[in-house]
This record gives sequence, C-alpha cells and structure tokens, in this order.
Amino acid sequence: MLVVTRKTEESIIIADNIEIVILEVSKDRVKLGITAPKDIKIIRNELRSAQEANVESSKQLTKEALTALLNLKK
Amino acid sequence: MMMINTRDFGEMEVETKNVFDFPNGVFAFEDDKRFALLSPLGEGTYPMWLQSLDHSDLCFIVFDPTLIDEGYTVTLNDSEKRLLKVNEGDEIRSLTIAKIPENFRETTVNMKSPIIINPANNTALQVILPHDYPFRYPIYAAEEVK
Repeated sequence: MLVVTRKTEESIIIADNIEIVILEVSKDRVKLGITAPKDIKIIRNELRSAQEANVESSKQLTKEALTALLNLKK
Repeated sequence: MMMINTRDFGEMEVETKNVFDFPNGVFAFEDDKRFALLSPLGEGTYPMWLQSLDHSDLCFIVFDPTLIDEGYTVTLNDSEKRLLKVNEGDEIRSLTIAKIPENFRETTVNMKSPIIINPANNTALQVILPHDYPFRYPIYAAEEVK
C-alpha cells in the first residue's frame, strides 16, 4: 500500500484525472474532496459491504432452511 | 387488503398497513420501492418476510435487532430523518436482514445496515449506522456452544 502524508488543502492526483484533496482533519475524521470524471463511480466502502450483504441475503432459501424457519418457536 | 405474489408462499393477501414505501429501494436493489412485511409465524413474531412488491423473487428474512441486542442503538443523520419524516423522539422501528445458509444454525444478521421504518407514515429506508456493528452477526452462535 502506498502511504502519503498530506496537510489540509493539499491533494493527490490519481491517473491524471482524479484529484483527492484533504479538506478538513479533526480527531478521528477526515473530510475529502474528490474531483473525477463523471463515469468514475465513487462510493463509501461500507456501502459496498451493505450491497454485498443484501445480495447474499436475497438468495433463495433451501427447502430445509425454509421449513426450519417456519418451525421456529420464539 | 391487497393480493401480492410472494417468493416463498405463492399468492397471498396483505393488509395495507403492512406495506411500506422505500423511496430509495434497498442497497443493491434500488428499483424495489415497495415491500410488504409478512408474518407467517404469527402476528408480531420474528422472523418476518420482507417481500418486494416490484419483483416477486426478491424477499428478505428479517429479525428485530433490539430483540437480538437489547442495547441496539440507531442514530439517523439529518437527510435520513428528512426522508423518513421523523423528528427527535419519534418512535421508529428497525429490522435487520438475515443471511440464511444451508445450515440454518449459521444464520447471521446485518446489524450495521438495518432497515428503519417510520410507523407513522409507513416509509422505510435502509441505512448504514455510524456505530461499530457487524454486517454479519451470528444469532444462534450462543446456542451452538451447548
């Protein structure tokens, strides 16, 4: 992993056309500004995890699992 | 009452009070804007089935996270509150989506991104909580040890 130290208002450039600027730094939070072409998708990592979790959870239940669930007593 | 097609139970009737609007859909299924909450184990008993009304093959098994973790805390940001039209102190309801593998004892629930419902207007939203909750929390792990 490349590690770069930056100060507020300094930035890095990725692949000539993506700029990430450090806007604000506080105790455990960093505010980033990102300038990139419109077709570059930018999402928070947790969002990807949330999407993956939903996709996994949407899978059809096996007949055994469905029966077990329906027989669950609270 | 309305008739809907479900993934696990065929055609069935649901009361409109159990139909919820998801203006943003849910993560990875943004086009599914309406879901019905089914209680095949009896009214008020979890798990419940969150069935999409837009695609009958999309359905999630959901639990009440506050029954799994008594101290479960939901913090909404301003845009989430605006979307749900909730104010500080309003009652909200949370649902956690389960992942049910072949061995159903290995079921996990997603405590990090629950579905939040405003019961006053039947609007619902899936959020990502700022708290340090897991995406896959095993609910039967404690029993497994026995």
